[in-house]
Amino acid sequence: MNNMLPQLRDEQGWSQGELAKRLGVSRQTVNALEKGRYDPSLPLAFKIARLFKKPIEQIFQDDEA
Amino acid sequence: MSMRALRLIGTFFLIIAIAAGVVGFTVARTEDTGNPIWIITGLVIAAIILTFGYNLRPKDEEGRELMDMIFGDMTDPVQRAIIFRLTVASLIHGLVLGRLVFRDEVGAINIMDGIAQDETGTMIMVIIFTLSLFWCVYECWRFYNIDEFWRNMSVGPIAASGVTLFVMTILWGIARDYLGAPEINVGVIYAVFWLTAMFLMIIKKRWAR
Repeated sequence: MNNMLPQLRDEQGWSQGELAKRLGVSRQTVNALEKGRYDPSLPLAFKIARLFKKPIEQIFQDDEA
Repeated sequence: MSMRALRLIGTFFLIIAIAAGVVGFTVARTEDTGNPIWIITGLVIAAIILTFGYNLRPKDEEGRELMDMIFGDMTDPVQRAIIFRLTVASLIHGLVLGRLVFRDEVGAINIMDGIAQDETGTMIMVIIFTLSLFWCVYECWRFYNIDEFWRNMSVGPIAASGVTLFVMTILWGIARDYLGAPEINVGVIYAVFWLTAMFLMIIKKRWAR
C-alpha cells in the first residue's frame, strides 16, 4: 500500500518522533508506515486521517487500484 | 539484504559477544572466588560496551532503524523505561540463576520434617528466581504492547523462537541419550531463544509487510 505520510508530515514540519507522539505510537511505527513495510490497522488509519484532516483514501492508496 | 545491513548486524553481534564474554569471564571468576561483585562488575562493563555500541550506530535512517530495532529506541522514554526495568529484572534473575545453577546451591527440600535454615535459603532463591522470571516476561509483554506495530513485529518471531527451542531441546535430549552429547548448559537455552527471536525480528523488519 502506498501512502502520502512523508509528504503530509513534511508539510506540517514534524519529525517522525513528533508524528509518533501525536498518534500515540512508536517512532518505528511511523518509519515502517512511511517505508510501506507496515500497513496500519483501521483504527490507526482513521487516527492518521483525523490528524491530517483528510479522507483515508487520500492518504493511503491500494497498490492494485 | 545489503552488505551494509549485514555489516550492521555483524557489528551488533560482535558487541553482544564482547559483552557476553565479559559477563562469562566474571561468572567464571565468581565460581573461583564466590564473590558476586564480579558479576555486577561484569554487567556494568557489559552495559558500558552496549551503550558505546548503541551510540556508534549510524545516524542515517536505515542504519538507525536497524539498530533501534535490535536495541530498542533509547530516545523514546517509554522504550527506555521498559529496557531499564528489564535490565534490572534480568540482573536479579541472572544473579539468582548463577547461584542456583552455576554454583549448584540447590539443596533437597523436605517440608514434612520441618524447614531447616539451608532449605529456607534455597526456597527463597527459587521464589526470587521465579518472580524475577515473571518480571522479565511482564516487561517483554509491555514492550510487545507498545503499539500495534510491535505486536505485529514480535508475535511471529517469538512464537517461532519458542518452537525452535522446543525442537532443539528434544533433539538435544535424543542426541544426549543415543549419541553421547554433553548436558546442555542452561545459558545456551536462554541465548538460543533470545538470538533466534532477534534474528527473526530483524528478518521480518527487513522484508515482511
